[in-house]
Amino acid sequence: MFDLEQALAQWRRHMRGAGLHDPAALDELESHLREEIDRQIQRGVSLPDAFAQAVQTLGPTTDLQREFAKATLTRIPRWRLWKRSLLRLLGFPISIREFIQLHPGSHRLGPFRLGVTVHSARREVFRAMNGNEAAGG
Amino acid sequence: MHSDTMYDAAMLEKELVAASTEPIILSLLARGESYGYELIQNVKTLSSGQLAWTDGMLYPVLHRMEDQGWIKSRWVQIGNGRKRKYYSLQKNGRTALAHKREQWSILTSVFAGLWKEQHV
Repeated sequence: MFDLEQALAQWRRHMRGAGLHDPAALDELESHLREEIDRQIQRGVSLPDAFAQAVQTLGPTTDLQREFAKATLTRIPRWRLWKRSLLRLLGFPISIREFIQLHPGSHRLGPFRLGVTVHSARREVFRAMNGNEAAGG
Repeated sequence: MHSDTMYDAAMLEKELVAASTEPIILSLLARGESYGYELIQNVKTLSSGQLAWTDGMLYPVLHRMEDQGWIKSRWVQIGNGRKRKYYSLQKNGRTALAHKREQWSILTSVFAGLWKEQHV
């Protein structure tokens, strides 16, 4: 028997596992899912199918995580982003807090993959800075 | 919002969708308070389904617009233990909307002129 509450709880765990930790953002996405599930059910779709389709309409989890991470980065004042980028270009490591925020679970990576992740985190900051002017990144 | 995943293929081109998302959200909220799901449905209806956002991608955009001070959100209980996050337009948002309207008006009048000449 399909249990919607259980399915939603599992979905939230999946999202957190993918790096989307903000409870308010998850609440908002869950609210969206419930609206879409209601609509599907009114059209005669079964509950499990309605849930699956609603999750699908949200889009790929990795894309969602990335867009939310970018939105979070824009909360950091621009001068601090530039300062951090400059420090990074000079070879200073990215702050551990920011690093784990962007790449959850990264503390478990080995030295090589850690380096790769730091590099990609740096690129994300640049992308966020360059992309925000036009239509919000 | 330059992500390819924000858009459905064979619809309005992604660059146009990206450029128009904020003005559309601002315009919809100028009509009154609304929430993500309703905004998405309104856009689908208004565009006869030709402008399709990937639903989830709207939310980071809304959050960014809120950070910019254009819009403001509040949670509203809607019964059955459910809640919705409503967004409303702020003064800064009205200013931003006026600016964006001006820019889009320039474009539409340029095209109107160009395409009118071609039909003469």
